[in-house]
Amino acid sequence: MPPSSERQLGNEPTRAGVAQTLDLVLAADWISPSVARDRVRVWLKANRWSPAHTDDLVLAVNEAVSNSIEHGYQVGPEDPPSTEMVEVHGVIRRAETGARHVEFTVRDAGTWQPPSEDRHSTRGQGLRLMRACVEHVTVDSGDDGTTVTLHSHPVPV
Amino acid sequence: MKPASDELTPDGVDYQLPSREQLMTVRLDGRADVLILTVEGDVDGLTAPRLSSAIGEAFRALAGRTLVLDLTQVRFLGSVGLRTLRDSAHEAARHEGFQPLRVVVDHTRPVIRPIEIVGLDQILALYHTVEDAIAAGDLR
Repeated sequence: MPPSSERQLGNEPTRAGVAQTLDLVLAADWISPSVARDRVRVWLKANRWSPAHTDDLVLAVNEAVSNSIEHGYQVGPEDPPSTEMVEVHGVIRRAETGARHVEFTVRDAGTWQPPSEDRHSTRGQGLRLMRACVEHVTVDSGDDGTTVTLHSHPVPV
Repeated sequence: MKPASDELTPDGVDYQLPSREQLMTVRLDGRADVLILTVEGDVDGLTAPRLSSAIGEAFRALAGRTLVLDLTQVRFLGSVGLRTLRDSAHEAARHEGFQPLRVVVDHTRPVIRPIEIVGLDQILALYHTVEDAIAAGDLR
């Protein structure tokens, strides 16, 4: 572990060999959220994220990936395997204070569906869960798909 | 059952995917005064329908008993699972004469956290242990 005077800001590894970024390409399939959850959990644990913060981020990423599959691509649970993809990218950033946060982007090439009027729709609940679990959520939709960006709360050094 | 799909990783390594059955299991335990439904694993979009069916079966088999849902071994609960719990709470009100649905969560954070975020803790009766849930008596 280098002395703090030599530590650079940015994406350098906090421990030798631990990846600061996560990249997943998932089939638009209802098993994929569980794959995303496992991968995110393992990656955050390797980067010393606390269990409580990890749980929240796993939940947020799950909801974003599930939304892409269910609403972006409208794949039903019993549908045959789709050739569509959902991309998950995670990156850990360190502020000057030393506090770290993680940013996940979940991207699909599907069609944005506005959430239903039903306050208790799973879609509405998904967004509500995401907003409670991270500091900031942005949803960027266009003709070529939707990107959800999840900006986590900072975690102490 | 449709075949499991493969995750594509940038380095081309295949990832062994769990089957639906491995992802979540449900067990029903019938006693004299109570029916205990124990859930283990992940309750997400893929597995929640099976939980919903199991809860429906439990209500049909209730015969005047109390239903207790044990979620202490659940390690993930997402929006679809929350919807299943909400629907089950409404059904409990009908079947048990306005008794709230008894759910055992102990200190299981992945279960308690989403329940609290969406305010389901206001309509569910939450307990630390199955024994507490059984001992609670008439909650009307």
